[in-house]
Amino acid sequence: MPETTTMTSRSRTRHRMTLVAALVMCMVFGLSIAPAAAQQTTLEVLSFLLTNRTIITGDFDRDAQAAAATRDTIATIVAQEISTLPVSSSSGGFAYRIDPTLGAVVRASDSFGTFYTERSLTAGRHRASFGIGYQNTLYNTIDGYDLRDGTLVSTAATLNDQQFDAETITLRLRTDVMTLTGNYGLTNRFDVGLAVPFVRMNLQGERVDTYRGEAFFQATGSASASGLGDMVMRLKYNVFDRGASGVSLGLETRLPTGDEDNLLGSGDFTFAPRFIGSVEGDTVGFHGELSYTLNTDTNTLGYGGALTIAATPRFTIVGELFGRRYDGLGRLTSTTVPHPRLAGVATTRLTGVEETTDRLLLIGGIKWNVTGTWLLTANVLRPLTDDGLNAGWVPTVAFDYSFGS
Amino acid sequence: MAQPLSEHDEELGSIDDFAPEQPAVQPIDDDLELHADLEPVPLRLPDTRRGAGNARSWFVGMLVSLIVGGVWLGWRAIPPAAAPGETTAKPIASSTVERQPIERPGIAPPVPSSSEPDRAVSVDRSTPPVEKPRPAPVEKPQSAPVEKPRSASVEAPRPPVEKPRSASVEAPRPPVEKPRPAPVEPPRSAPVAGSPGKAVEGPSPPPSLADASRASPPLPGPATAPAPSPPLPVPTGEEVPSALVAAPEPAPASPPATTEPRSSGGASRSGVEVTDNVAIQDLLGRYRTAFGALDVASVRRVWPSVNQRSLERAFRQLEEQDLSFFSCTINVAGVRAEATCVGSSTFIPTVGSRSPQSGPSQWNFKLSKKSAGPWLIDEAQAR
Repeated sequence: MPETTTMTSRSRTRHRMTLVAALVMCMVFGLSIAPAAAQQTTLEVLSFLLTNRTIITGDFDRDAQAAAATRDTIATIVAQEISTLPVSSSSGGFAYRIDPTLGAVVRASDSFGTFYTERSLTAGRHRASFGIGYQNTLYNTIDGYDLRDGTLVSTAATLNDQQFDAETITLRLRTDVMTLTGNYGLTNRFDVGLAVPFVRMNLQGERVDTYRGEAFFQATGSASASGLGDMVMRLKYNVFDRGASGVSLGLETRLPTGDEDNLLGSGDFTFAPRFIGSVEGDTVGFHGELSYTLNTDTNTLGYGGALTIAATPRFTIVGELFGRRYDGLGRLTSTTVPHPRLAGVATTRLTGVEETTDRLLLIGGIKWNVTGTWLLTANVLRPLTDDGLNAGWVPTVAFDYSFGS
Repeated sequence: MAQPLSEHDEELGSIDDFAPEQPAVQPIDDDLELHADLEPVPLRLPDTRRGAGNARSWFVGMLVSLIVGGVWLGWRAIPPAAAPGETTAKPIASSTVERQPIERPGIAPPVPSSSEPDRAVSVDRSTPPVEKPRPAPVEKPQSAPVEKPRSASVEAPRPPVEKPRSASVEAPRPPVEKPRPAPVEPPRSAPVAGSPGKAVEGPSPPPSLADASRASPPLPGPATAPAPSPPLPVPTGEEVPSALVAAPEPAPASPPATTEPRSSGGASRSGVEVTDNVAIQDLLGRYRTAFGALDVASVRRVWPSVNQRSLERAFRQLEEQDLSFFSCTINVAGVRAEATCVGSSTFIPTVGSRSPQSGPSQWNFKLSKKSAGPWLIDEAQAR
């Protein structure tokens, strides 16, 4: 009988693994279909839209420099935004451990954990989880400038502070990110994780010149690209635990697997040590995280705090504040210089400057154990700061499946 | 508008030329001609969109994935058919597990009450210590120091042993059905380590479903067990960890000695010690039963100092639990005792996988009793 049980269990495990593999393959194929190579990359289209074509500024070199700086800043911001993905594991919520003082088996945590902020609890030895998440983002503003209402001035000419000719840009930037995640507990205290994002980037833009109140449609450009984003590898080691509370150290590495020219990835290898602490009671848990991302261009200080409420054994409510401070990420700004030849005329250009950028996000959502070890995660994200690339509300839905003993 | 033009007077003339009615910046006006030309035919970069097919493929991919996921979810609800070559003698599908917890492999049904005779303990009780006819005692070689205090393990329950007082309890056991060779004292020097451990086999009554599901694979079933010569039969065919099995009796000529007073002890003292062992076994059995029944009140009766709130919370997280003690080693020291039990435990959680999972496999108990009172658990640790 035990052999039979083992064999049947193995057979069932094989079935599950086959189905997981099939699901993943479907996702990958669905996302990676690209009929033909694009004639222009997303970056080139963005550069085209941002480069002044009509206003005689008298300094076309400076026009080009400003357009390039703006493009690079937007590209960096977009890449950073896309690389901010929730990849934390929820499998700790399904783990059962022995309480030595009680002599009984207890659930490792009554909650299913957090979204972006890590928690100290690890999944448990030989416990694995796979997840698939989808996030749709329609960006509205960048560094406080509205992207969609046609008020983002790329180049303008003013006479005695009165603007009489201006080129404005409208950008409709949308991303769909589907992330496959996996987490495995090598030991009771040591987790390894992997996140593979597939990104679809859609950019549509137009440039309009408004001369003395009359608008002249100048150009449109659009680009769409999809493919692998920057993969994330994660390690987490629990150095101290008391129940579900404890302290863990983590390490996150992002690989430049995304196409930088199509804004699917940052193009940089990053390395981020993390410090994670959690205090969990029977129902309520507090989690905090501090990280520092080392990058060739931009170092980032990350911090986050999360509150989890285990409303029922199968339902967890999560609220998070997640912040990042980017050193030298770049900000969009407008610079005004006098026209080199025309008295009283000044040229305003949109450009990018290296400045520290602070971002703060508010996330709220739920994790619901639908059945077995299937977990449905749904949350919305709301930026609280103007810096960077921001959307109104960003919804994320994910399914997570855990197994193992 | 009448401001002097300091730098570009000669080049541009008067600033009045910049009047809105008459645009003064001629180069700009020249460009505006271009604007007019551009208006009807807006500049358009070659469309780099990868076609509507790409969007469709995206959503088709998602749709396929959702369908596959849905099918998978639905399929999981159907008990899997046995694969070729598999013999499914007992249904183990999750749906069956929910409806028929008794038949769940590895999980015993909850014992309805602690007063019901526990499998291990009842068997132990059924083997009264002194009544069996035994051969005459034979002197053991004196290589083993007689005075080694309370560190030895013996088969228990068995006739009172004078010294040492600790006992290794074979559990569970059925009622003894025939006279058996006299229990023997273990080698006194190192009764556990020195014993060539082996699985104890013997005839046994047909095991219950829970027993069958609990049986370990390495040992043959009761029907195939050879004719025994062991001191006690073990019904479930469970393999007893060798380190905790009492030393096998070398020969029928082994000294019974269990009821014989030894150098210092008396029959009354031996009787007390055996009574303690039996009482502790009974206590551990009730502990096991209470945990299996997820009954906090019953646990408190044997372990009054248990953290009730934590235990209630722990039991709420489990749907079923079953504890089996393969063997226990009991060391009694006056009104205190320690017991180490090796066994297995399985549980089905209320949240998460419906498959039975493994729990603790070793328990360490600290026990005490007040004068003339019952033995109670002071502390229990599991790992």
